Amino acid sequence: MLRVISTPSGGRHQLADGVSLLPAGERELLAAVGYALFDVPSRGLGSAGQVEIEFESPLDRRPYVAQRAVDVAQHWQIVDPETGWQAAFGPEDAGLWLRRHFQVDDDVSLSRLFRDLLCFSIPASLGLLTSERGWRDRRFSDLLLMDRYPKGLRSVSAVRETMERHWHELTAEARLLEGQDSLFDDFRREHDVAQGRLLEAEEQLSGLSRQLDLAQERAERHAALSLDLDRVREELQAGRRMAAALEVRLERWQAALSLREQAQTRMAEHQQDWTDFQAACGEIARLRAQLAEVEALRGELSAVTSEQVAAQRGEAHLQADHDRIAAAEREAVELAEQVHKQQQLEQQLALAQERSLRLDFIHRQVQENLADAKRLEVLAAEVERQIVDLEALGAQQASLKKLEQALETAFGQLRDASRQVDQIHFLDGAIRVTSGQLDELRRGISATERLSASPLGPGGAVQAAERTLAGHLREALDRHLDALERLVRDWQNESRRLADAAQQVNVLRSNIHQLQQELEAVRKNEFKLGGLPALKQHRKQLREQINQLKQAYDLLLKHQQECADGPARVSNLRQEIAGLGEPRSQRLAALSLVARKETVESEIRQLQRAKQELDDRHTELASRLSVLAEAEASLRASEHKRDETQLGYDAYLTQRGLFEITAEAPDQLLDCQSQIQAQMRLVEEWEARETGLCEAIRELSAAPLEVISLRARSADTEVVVERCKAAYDQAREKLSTAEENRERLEQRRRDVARHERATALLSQARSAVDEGGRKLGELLRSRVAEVGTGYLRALLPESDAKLAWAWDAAPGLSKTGIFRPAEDLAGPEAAALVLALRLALVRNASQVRCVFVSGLDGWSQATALGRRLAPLSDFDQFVVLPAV
Amino acid sequence: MRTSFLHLADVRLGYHDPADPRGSAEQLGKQFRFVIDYALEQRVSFVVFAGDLFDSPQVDPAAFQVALRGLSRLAEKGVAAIAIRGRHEVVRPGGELTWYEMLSDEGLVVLLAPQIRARDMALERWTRRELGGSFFDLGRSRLFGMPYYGAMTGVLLPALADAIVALDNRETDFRMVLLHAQLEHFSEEVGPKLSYGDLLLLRRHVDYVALGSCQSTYDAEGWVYNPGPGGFFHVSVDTVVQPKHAARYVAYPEAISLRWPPAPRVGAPRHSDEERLFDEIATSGTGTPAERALKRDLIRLVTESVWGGGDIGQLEVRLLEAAARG
Repeated sequence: MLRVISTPSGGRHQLADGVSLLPAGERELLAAVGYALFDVPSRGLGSAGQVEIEFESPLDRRPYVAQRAVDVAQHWQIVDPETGWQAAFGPEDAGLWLRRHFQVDDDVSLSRLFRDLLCFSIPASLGLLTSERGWRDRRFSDLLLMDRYPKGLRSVSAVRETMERHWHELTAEARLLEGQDSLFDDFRREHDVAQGRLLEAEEQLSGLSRQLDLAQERAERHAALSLDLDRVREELQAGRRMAAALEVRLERWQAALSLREQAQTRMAEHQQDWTDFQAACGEIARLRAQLAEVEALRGELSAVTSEQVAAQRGEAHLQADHDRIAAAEREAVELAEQVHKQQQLEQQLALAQERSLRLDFIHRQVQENLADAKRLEVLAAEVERQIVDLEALGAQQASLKKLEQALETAFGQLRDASRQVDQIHFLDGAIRVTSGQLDELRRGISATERLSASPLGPGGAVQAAERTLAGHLREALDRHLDALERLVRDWQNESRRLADAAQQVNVLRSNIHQLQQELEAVRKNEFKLGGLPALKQHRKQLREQINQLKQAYDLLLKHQQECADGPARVSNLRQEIAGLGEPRSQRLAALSLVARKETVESEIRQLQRAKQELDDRHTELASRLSVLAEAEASLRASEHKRDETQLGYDAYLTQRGLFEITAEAPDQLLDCQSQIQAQMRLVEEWEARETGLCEAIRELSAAPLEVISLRARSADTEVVVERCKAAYDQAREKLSTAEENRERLEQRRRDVARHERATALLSQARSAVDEGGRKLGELLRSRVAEVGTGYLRALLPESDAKLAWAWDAAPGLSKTGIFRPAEDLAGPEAAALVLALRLALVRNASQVRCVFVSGLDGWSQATALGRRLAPLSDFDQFVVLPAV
Repeated sequence: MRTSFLHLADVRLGYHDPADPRGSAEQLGKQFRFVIDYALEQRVSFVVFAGDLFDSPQVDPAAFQVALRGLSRLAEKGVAAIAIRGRHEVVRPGGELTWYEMLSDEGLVVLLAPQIRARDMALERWTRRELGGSFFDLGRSRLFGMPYYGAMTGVLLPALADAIVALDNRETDFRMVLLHAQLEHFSEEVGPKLSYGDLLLLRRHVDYVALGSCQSTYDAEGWVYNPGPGGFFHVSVDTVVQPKHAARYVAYPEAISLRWPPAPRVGAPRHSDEERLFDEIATSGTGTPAERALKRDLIRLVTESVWGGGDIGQLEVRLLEAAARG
């Protein structure tokens, strides 16, 4: 498990698997392990530096490094050397990490694990086995990590003592409260008496209060009735005033009724005049309406007469137009022949004009053709010139290959020359190096010369051999020197021979540059020559176009000759047409007149029909005018009669107006009478109410005085009630104090009972914990014994050896069914028993695979400890500590 | 993308059962040949070994011959074999060439391991020229591998997650990680445990976590798988559907199965023994069930107050409360 331990003092110790003997005086290593892996205080490690432990984790069987500074205990970290990453840092994190990897229970500290379990001494452990029982049991309880049970039981006992003390206190308090509770009945009686008095006084007060409320209610009613009486009296006055006003109105309507009866009598007297006047006026109106259309009939008659005259005149005009149309019809027939002749001449003129136009078109085409031909000829000449130039360049193109060959040759020469320059540089370097070697050799020669020239000393034979050796060395050096000098000379000759290589390189470079320029120019020409076939093709196309233009020109000339007489013929024909005048327009004018012939004839017919209708209308109007003259005479007679009945009619209208004005007098009279009666009834009602109110007020007139009296009595009673209440409060307070005291007493009695029960429960729990501890101790002892038996059988040759450990006994060796305590065992057997026991205790507490054992020296030599420990697969390392 | 592969772990070729050294070696050889036949028959694309292919860094020739022949058959058919070192294959620094490295040099096994730097982790593509790397691309699948780092695995996982995120994974449809670690709460064996919370750092970037180092077979949320030594997972991948893979556990036939000695289990802590004993004491006495329950509560109350982190000063108060209730 542990690989390397590095201490602050610079010590570094490697540990292998199996048994390792820690050298004497290296207790610092143990302290370092305890400090870095088990958080044991750093005693014995100095005051500065760092502890570093390389170890293998029992959890994942991987190597880790624990580092912890001695002077700063917080600087504690676990590092994974394979990745270089921190696995844990800081005391808390590192402690937790180590606890998890060592698989230690949370309630066991690492330092205790190290001190009590991982480090042990065989003699001390043997002494423990043979010690007296009490101390031995406590110590094994510690080693089984069960020490918390006695501590826990002690804590429980302390708690029980505390609880008993509390129980005594509660009991004493309860007794005190019992003494105070003896006065409880007296307080209750006093309370009941005070309560009765208070209730009586309060009842009296409440009776007075009810009377006072009634009296106040009556007083309020008295005040309200007085207000009602005032209001009723005001209403009564108003009702009486209203009745007087209605009586005045009644008298006025009685006068209007008598006037109406007089008007009715007079209307009957003028009734006949009124009727006649009405009839005359109606007749006059009818006749006037009849005579109103006389003027219209006269106007209409004159209009019909004027229309008759206009129709006669229009007929005459139309007849004249009809005559002119007949003359124009005859003239159109005569002009038709001249028009035909003119049309023939115009057709001839159109043909002549077409030929003239074609002549102009051909002329323009000829001009364009000539221009195109000229342009193409110029273009062809230019193409021809370019072709001639390019054909001249073609001759130069033949030198391209020569130039490329020359350039390639120059490049080859340049490479050779460059190589020669490099060779020169190499030779110069080699000459320098070889010259250095020559100098060294020369110094060696001088040294050998001194050696060979030194005089013989006391050991003459040895020095002679050295001189002979120096002679041989000198000869070899000379030969080497000659060879190197020859080599240097050869190189110098070669260097001189190649001395002009650099100049040659410059010349070749300038030649190459010139050749490259020439080559570039020739390559440009080559590019131009690439366009020669295209130019020749273009020339051919231009020639073909020129030939086509010439053919077109010939054709145009032929057409021009054919159309040459076109303009002269046009001129002649135009003169002939002008000689004919305008027969077409004249004919058109005549024909336009002839076209109106039918229209004029139909108009004449319509006019004749209208003329007949006008004659009929004139006759009808004349007859209607004669009837109207008779009506005028009747009108004058009716107007005379109307004037005669005018006065009677006016009188009738006056009386009728008076009658109608007084039409509502009967209804109003009746209405006034009913209103007066209603008002009188209201007045009577108010008078009756006034009487009732006066009587009621009289009955309630004593209420205000009664209120004042009752208030005074209530105040007196309230004083009495207050006095009773104070007495009652005092009694109640005493009673409540007594009740509280009784409640506290009950509470204390319950507390006492509860404490008694809690103490009993605690005792019960304590005994259960005690029993649990014993059972756990038995369980752990049996487990340790089982594991230890496995270890014991590896350590002892006997296969039936067994580690036995009962609850109330010390561990011992059982062989063939016979139990032997440690004090009865011999040295190796006792040591094996102790070792097996301690290893099993370690395994019980953790999975750490390394233990530190002391006092094993003699036994290890006797029993080949390493060989015996090898089968213990639960442990990798047994570090044997030297005896102190 | 569709593919399929086998996930094995803890094959431990070269293991010898002390009770039957020869028989156990033969059974392991048969199991390995069964795996190879199965892989070729099912035409899987690759086979992953999540640690402990061998029982130790230096195995005996017979065991190595089994591995060599099987892996050669896979290589002949173009089936890649990808592996990481497990707990039993850890090589001490400065060690000589191991059989594992020899197989890797011969191109029979792709051995994956990340480059761990001072503060982070670098992932390099495995190349045939270097015969080393941290991840291996097979078509559109990418396989990351981290060998056994014991308790440091959990510490290194965030760095691995960061390194995976830093890579350009856009051209990959299926990513898996090979780890040799036990998952907390899934394994009761002694050893460092990896918490599922640590693994969740990879959840968004990895589609399959291939674990090893535990004898029991388990899978966690269809994402983390541990086949154990009794068989292997045959995983079919189809990245078009969700979930992207379907894993089927294939146990070795009974005829070639091997009875492994039970791995050391994590011992029950001392307090569980105490609780059991106190329960026995509480239930052993006479009295009604309510009285026994009160007794158990009292014991718990006292033990908690005395050494369970409770306040001894409060014990009286709590006892009085218990007395009032009772």
